[in-house]
Amino acid sequence: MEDNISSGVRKGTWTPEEDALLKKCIEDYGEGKWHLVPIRAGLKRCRKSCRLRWLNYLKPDIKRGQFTTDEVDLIVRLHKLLGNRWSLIAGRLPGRTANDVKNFWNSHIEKTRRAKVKKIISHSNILRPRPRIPSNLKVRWLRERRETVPRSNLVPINNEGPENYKQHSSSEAKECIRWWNNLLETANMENVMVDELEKQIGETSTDLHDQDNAILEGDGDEFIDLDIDVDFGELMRFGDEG
Amino acid sequence: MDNSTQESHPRPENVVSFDSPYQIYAMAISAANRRRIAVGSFIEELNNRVDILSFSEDSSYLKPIPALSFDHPYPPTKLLFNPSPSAPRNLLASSGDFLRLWEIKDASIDNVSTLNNSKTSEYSAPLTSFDWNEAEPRRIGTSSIDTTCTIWDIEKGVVETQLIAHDKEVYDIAWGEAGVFASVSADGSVRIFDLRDKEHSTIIYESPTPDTPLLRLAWNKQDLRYMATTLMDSNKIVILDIRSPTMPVAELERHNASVNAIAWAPQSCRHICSAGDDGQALLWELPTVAGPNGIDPMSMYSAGAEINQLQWSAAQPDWIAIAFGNKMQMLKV
Repeated sequence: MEDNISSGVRKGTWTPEEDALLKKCIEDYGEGKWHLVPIRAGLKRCRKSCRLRWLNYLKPDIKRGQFTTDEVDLIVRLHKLLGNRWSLIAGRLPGRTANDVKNFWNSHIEKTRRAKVKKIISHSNILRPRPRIPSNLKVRWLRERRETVPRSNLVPINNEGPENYKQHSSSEAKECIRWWNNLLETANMENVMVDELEKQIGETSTDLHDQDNAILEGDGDEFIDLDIDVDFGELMRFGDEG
Repeated sequence: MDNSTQESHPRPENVVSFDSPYQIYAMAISAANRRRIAVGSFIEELNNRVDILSFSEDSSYLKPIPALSFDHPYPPTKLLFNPSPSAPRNLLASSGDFLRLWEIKDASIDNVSTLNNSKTSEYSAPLTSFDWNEAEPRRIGTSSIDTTCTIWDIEKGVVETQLIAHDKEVYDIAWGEAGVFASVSADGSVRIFDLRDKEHSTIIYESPTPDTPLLRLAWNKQDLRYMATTLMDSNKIVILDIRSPTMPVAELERHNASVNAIAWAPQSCRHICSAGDDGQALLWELPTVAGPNGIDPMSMYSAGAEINQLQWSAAQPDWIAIAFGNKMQMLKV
């Protein structure tokens, strides 16, 4: 394009003379219209470079010197809130440029944070228990679905299906109350849980095959054999002592 | 039915009141000193207070003890005294932004410790509730909006375990026995956790409409098979049997507005009390045979304003504490 630009836009450190030329130009013409600045100032610098130099270094209201403790505190808090959005953070720090804040962060604070985070990761041991739904409920639910709902609406039974249990019909509510009755009456029996499960399952089902019963009993036992089993034994004693 | 706190001829009353200068939410009844009740304020600001009241059944008064009152940052979401009456130190625990322990001495209350879980910063997720394990009094379980439950060993002041309990914020936690607790969450599930098997949890109930948060949980300490829970904005109390998961054994539906608090009776395994926004506290007896129209409450008390909190403590089995507005009342059962 123009000789000016093709013959070499200067790169690298700004000399004091270039700084002076740029400063004079901005003072004369104001900020803005950066594409005219290199021409007006007589600089062999790219317009972007002129703007950045002005904003980050030559502008009169830039605060020099170390960041005060108040500013450091603000930076830490704003960074926690905003992340790496330096222009936003610098917006809250009058006299400090985004560039300065970024350099400060990366050189000073990042070092300490990295060291801390490494230590933390080695100590962190937050567990996430996986939810379990007892299998006898799954089979029973399937049976009830079969009675009341057309086949196409059946959902496959798998371990991750808490959504299967969402709808309660009134017949189930009555079943609940019958469960309650029997359980409360026989509250002092040791084996109430297994007996009641079998009795209720026998009473409530219309389509019950022996097969189903066997499956259910088996699953019922399975449920009992799960880790929580131990608690139930103790819970029975609690019930008796209560 | 309000009782004036100054009686010239003291006689036993059924309702004893206390008027507080600020709205009350958290309440706790002391096991060690049965006359002491802690009430926490609910001011939506940083500065909140916890007062200790002295309750006298015979003279029917509820008075604050001025020396035993302290500042608490942000409203305490729950207050509990140490459940074992013979503990060496008289401790009060409060949850809010952190779990804090306070020691109640004769003339003052000191902050013993502030238990902060977060290692990366001074801020950690606020705690919605906590429960003090009665079988193992050095264990406190807290529930938080960051979906985790943290089990603390308060004697050592360290975290025993932290579990990601749910998929959304955890709203309440209750201990069953020494190593088993249950929690309810905004994801609508009641889950039981066993500290001996931290890999698994058991869902024992999910709210019928998906993602209806469950707000409160109460585990029947007299009969550990039964739990009660409330849903958000619902007038129902769901009674669960942990042996028959996902099927509630009963739904108590007699409140006219949403239920805010539930408490099992400390001395009977069949009674439960509930309070809600209709200003009523209902006392229920769970029957052996349920009638066709559902279960009706045994007795009822109208407070006149939305009842926000209910506590029924083993320390005072004949009295139920309720809080509504700026008032706190003790009701005789």
